[in-house]
Amino acid sequence: MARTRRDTVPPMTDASPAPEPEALGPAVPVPDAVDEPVRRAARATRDAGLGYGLAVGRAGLRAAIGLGKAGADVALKVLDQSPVGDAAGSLADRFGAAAGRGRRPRAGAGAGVGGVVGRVVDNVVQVLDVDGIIRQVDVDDIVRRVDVDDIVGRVDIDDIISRVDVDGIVRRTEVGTLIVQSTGGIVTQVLDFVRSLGVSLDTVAERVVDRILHHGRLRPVAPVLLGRPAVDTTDPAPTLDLTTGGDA
Amino acid sequence: MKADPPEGSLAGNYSGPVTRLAAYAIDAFAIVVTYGLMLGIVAFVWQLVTRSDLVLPASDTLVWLIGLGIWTFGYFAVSWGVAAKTVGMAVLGIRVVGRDGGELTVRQGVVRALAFPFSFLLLGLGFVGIVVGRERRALHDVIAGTTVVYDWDARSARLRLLTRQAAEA
Repeated sequence: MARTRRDTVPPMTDASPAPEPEALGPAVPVPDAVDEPVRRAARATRDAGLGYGLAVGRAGLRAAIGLGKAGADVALKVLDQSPVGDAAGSLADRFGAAAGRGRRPRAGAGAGVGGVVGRVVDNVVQVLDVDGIIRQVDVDDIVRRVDVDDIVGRVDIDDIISRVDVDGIVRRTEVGTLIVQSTGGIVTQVLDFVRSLGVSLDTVAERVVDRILHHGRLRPVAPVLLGRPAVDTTDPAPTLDLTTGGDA
Repeated sequence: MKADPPEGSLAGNYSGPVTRLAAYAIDAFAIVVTYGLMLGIVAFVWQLVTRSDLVLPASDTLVWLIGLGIWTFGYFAVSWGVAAKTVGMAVLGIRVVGRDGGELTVRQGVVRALAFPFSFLLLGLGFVGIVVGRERRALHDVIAGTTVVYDWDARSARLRLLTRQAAEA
């Protein structure tokens, strides 16, 4: 649908009498397809102008600030080397004592504020009745809400146990004494010795056999249901030091 | 010679040849001793009941050997069938299990006791598998479908040794 330029004329008011149709000239039809791109172009031109203007202004501001700082640095260095710098130094020296007197009450005020804050906190804690608050906490309910199984499930017990130096604990604590008192009979000692001796001799015999007959072949160390993986006989066989003790 | 227990538990691992040989030696001693005691008890009871002396066969007679064979079979069959271990095995800390590690059945124990003499009869070749076999099985193990594993916790033994050493230090 085509519109005419007359359609865009503002509504008539009492202050501005409506012009005569003849004064406006003949109506020129302006199709939407032409009017819309012109408006978009005008808006884009305006926005682009604003954008570029802002960018240029920002860059100029930065440049001005940079130049100002550089100029100030240069000026200060020049002044330092000049009689003005000497005068400023002597002035600072004269003001030093007064500045020190000013800093002391400032530090004192800081300490006073800290003390006041501490007393306030103490008073707040006394007023709060922390014991009463703790008594109101339903620990059982909290514990019930905690999924202990989930927590335990996330813990690698084997890894923890493997890190524990049980030998060291037994050496350093009285746990070992208790074990000795409970199971340290002469019969137990003899059995432990005989069995350990048998194991050490087994290890020696099997090491010899493995080297002669089982070159590079995996050899199970236990039946399937007892869950021991096969060992690679190419690796050094587990050893038992018959003089100082060790692995088997 | 000083032999400390290993750090890890050996329970469930295949037993080695020396331990098994030592267990057999203890069992052989136990069999002969208990056989002699048994004959003595039989003679004593016979004397109490019949009021006459019982002339026991000499140890170099066939009857004595047959009796020893029967006693040996009974010793092993009952020990393995009931406890999966003999006295010697208990001392050395080993036990008989199924080939897959399962519990030994009474039938397996009896079959193992019946097959045990064959390992001797073949000039001892039946025991070679204990040394060179992958699963350390003797001939009677193969026949009965069994194997022998360690049954003691070497870890506990090691802790006991460490504590004794700490107490002595």
